[in-house]
Parts: sequence; C-alpha cells; structure tokens
Amino acid sequence: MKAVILGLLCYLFAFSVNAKEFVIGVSYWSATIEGQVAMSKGLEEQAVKINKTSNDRIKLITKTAGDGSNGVRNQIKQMNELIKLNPDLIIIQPTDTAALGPSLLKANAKKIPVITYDQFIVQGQTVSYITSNNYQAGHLGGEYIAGKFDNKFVLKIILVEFPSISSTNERVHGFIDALKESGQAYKVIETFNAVEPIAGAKAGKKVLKHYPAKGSVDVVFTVNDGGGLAVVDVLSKAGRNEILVATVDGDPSSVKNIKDGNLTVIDSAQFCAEIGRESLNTAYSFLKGNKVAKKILIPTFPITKETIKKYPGWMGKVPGTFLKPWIKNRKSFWNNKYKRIND
Amino acid sequence: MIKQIILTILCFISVNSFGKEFLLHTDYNCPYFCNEKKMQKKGYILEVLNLFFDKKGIKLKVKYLPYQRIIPELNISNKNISVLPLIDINNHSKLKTFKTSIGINFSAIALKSTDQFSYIGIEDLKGKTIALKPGGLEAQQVTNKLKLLNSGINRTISITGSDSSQRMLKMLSLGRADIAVSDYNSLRFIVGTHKIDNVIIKPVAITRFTPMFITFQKMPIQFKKLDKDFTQFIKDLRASGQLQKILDKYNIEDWKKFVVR
Repeated sequence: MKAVILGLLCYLFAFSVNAKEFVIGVSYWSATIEGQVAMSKGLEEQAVKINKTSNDRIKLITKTAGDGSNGVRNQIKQMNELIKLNPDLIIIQPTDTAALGPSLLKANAKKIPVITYDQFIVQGQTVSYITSNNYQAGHLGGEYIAGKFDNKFVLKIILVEFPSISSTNERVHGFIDALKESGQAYKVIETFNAVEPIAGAKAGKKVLKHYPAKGSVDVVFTVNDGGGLAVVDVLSKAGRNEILVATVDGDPSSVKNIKDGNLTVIDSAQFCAEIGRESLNTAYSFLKGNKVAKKILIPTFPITKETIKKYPGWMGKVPGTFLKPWIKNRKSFWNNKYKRIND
Repeated sequence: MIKQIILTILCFISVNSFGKEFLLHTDYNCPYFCNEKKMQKKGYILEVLNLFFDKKGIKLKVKYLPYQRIIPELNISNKNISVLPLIDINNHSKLKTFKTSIGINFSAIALKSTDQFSYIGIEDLKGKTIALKPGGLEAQQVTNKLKLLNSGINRTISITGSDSSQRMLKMLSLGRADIAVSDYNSLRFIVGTHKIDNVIIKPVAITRFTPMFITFQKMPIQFKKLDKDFTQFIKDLRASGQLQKILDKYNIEDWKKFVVR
C-alpha cells in the first residue's frame, strides 16, 4: 500500500514538474466585426481545450483595439503595455500593416516571440503568420462570376476594397486573376475603399450616384462583408437587383442574401474560429519547442446557392472537398487543404 | 510544296525571333531600374532579369520611357514586356503576367529625424506640405485624398524625373516640404547610398502592398514555359543566396516576407 502511495506521489510530482504555465498576451482588432469576434472565440476556445487536455496551463491576457484610426492608436498603446508585462509570447491581429511595426521591433528587442493572424506587419520578425487563403477567396469569386457571363461580354466591375491591409489586397488579386484566367473581358469602372458599414453605405450611395442607370454596373466585388453588406443593402433598396455581388467573409446576413437571391451570388467564407484555433495551436507548439511554419493559410469556402448546405459556419471546421459546379469545361475541386509555407 | 516550305521557314524564323529577344519597357525607378550613368548600378530587377534571360539565351533590351507610356507600348508587339505593380495591371483585362512576382511596392514617408511627427493614418498629413512622385494610379489616389483632407487646397508638390526620391529628400532638408511620400524601397536605397542620417523612413499603409510582375499584353509563343522556368529560377536564386547578394547592394529586403502565395 505504501509503495502504491509513494508511486502515486512520485507520478504527481513528475506531472507537476513537466507541467508549465505559459502567459500569452493577445491583441484583438475589433469587438464589433462579427468574423473577427469568431476568430477571438476560436482562439480562446482552443486555450480552454489545451488547459483541459494537457498538463500545461495557458493564461491569456487579452486586449481589444477597436475600429477605425482610434483602433490603430489603441492597439499601439495596448501592444506596448503587453510588451511591458513580458509575456511568453504575443498573438496579435494587426489593425494596420505598417503602424504596428515599431511595436513589433520593441517585442523583437525584448526577445518576446510574436505571432500575427489575419494581417502581417511590415517591419520586424514574427514566429508565424496565420491567415485565410485570401487569394483563394478572391479567386473563387472571380471564377464564379466569370461562369455567369459570356467571355466576350465586357463586365463593368466596381471594386470595394481596402488598400492598407494585406489580406484584402490578396482578395482583389485573386478575383482579378480568376477573371483573366477564365478569359473574361472586364473593365474596372471605379474603386471605393470600405471594410466597415459606414464606409460601405457611403460607397453604395456613390455607386448609385455615379451609375444611376440599370445595367451600367454588372458586378461589384467587395473585399469583406463588414463593408460589403452595407453596399448590398443600399443597392438592394434602390432596386438595383441586376447587379451581381461577389464578396468575402461568410457573414450570416450575406449567406441569407445568397439564399434569398438578393444581389450576392458568392461569398467566400473564412473559417474564422479556425484561424483563432490555429493561431493558439501554433503559439503553444512553438512554446513547447517545436518548429512551426512561417506562414499558414486556412482555406476559404465558396458559399453559393449550389454549395450552401455544405457550409459549416464561422465556428465550424473545414469540411471535405467537392466538385465546383460552376466550372463547366473541366473537373475542378474546391481546395480544402491548409497551406504551410516554411521559407 | 515550295509555298509550304517557305511558310514553314518563315514560321520558324518568327517563333525563333520571339524567343531570342525581348524589349523591356520601363521608367527609371531606382532601386528597381536605375539610371546606370548616374547611379553606377543597373537596378535589382534588371540584374535579376538579365540573369534569367541570359540563361534562356534571350537578349533583353531596355527602353526607358515615361511611366504613362509603358502600357500602350505593350500592345505593339509580343516582344514588348514590362514590370508593373499589380494595381496598374488589374485595370487592364488584356495584360498577362508571370505567376511569380519580382518584388513588392509599398509606400513610406520620409521626415527629418528632428521632427516629432507621428503618423498613424493619412488624416495625420492634414495641413502638411507633401512631396510626391506623380504618375500611376496610386499617386493620383493619394493626391486626391490629400486634397480632400485640405478642403480642396493642393498641398502636394510633384517631383518628377529619375532621381525623384533623392530630390524629395533634398526638399525635406531645405524645409520646402514637411514630408516626402514615396516608395519604401526607393527611399531606403537613397538613404543607404548617400548615407543620409538626418532623415527617418517609416513604412506606411497609404497605398497598397502590391507585388510587381513581368507583364505582357501580346503573348509570346513560349509564355507558359518561360512562366514556369521563371518561378523555378527565382526559387533557385533565393536558395543559393545570390538573390540576397543582389538585394544587399540596394539596401532592400527580400520580398518573400510579404508574399503569401
């Protein structure tokens, strides 16, 4: 009996010696953009799971920057506060690719490893960068739109984009590349900047003002639902149902627009919670001494009338692959693979 | 029969000539394409392209011309190529590019090191005198935004010419401009080359992070093969350390950090 108790004590001692507590500082961007909230939920959910299923304990210190230019200023301040706390690692969703550079350099100088998700930061070194396959998101939209028109018809396209962050640029690149690869003629007739509802509504109103006649715009590509939903709302209320909208994110309201046939025909959804989960997993793996990929791209899901039943939602996990019904002349499967880039 | 032979020979000559020579259209834009007489350097893109096309046995000639004239020139012949940022390529449905980029373009501000100015967003430039290089869609967008911020008053000074970034920095030191907005790599190159220590360069997100690609309008016959070979060539150049050696001469970073494809 004594031996059993001693053995148990030894086991518990060994168990507690191996167990580690990791303090991770987290800087989120928005508390109002639903997709971003899902990312943070995924991250926190994964921390709880690791705490339940391993010997280690992860303690998160979370801060949220907020929207707009004040959000950028807040995040710089909050990031500097996190650096002062000297955590084991920092995970950040940058509000601006350039403005957070000096803060990252400070973290580098203090040898605090940093992981970014959703956007990257221009200056400084990060352990890993986790994001959606944003190029794929735009590309799916472009190929779906090209499938709806005769190649020789010159599509009149409006881009609603946001130049100061990398992820949205990749979406535009993918969208345009898909049109070109499909041999679709097009003309970008105007571009607007919007990723949130106020700017989206303004962009929608300008579209109506600059192009009042039906048929003067064929397609609007919006780089996210944050701004895109407001664009669709304005255009829909004005009865401009002839316009096809391709968008990115997978917001439930946008999914409803697809179901209802309200302008939006494709929404390339991000697996938002999965981005959060993967970020935390990567951080944990790095802290345990493992080598992690420098860039990790999570696939995006093309929600259309044809595929909507297969879509698991923002909190869901990446489902199995399927044949894309809008590609007519060859067999093309949706790519559901994670892309891990090590160079 | 003779007609067929002549046609075949003509066809062969034509195919061969596409493969043996390209005419690269560009403006002077150091460190990408430099005015060799002034800078004693070719520009890193030209150095990389020369290595690639030499390896393929293709002669690369360069024609320097103002930026605005480059895209129309591409429609003239399938020997005509350029290297353009994606923002300018997007608006032209007929332009085709190689899949692998040859650099990345993004903006930076330059200010005197004694200046306490802190930049977060473009609204911080309100009321400031800004020196920038005109031409291209992005410069136009920045000028428009600044004009809007300054209630219609244009406070931008356009600096043209091959040494525009250098002249912008001179304007800063003379107090004729508060801030210079230019390409990050161009400013870094000038500051590094001339060992300027009273100026700070900060990358900013005023304009997009746009990769640059080798661009065609009329497709050469061997386009697909060249495209594939170029991707492998860049991989090999990077792996061998030769790319970094070239970039070091121009004080710039490898663009792979910013590319997620």
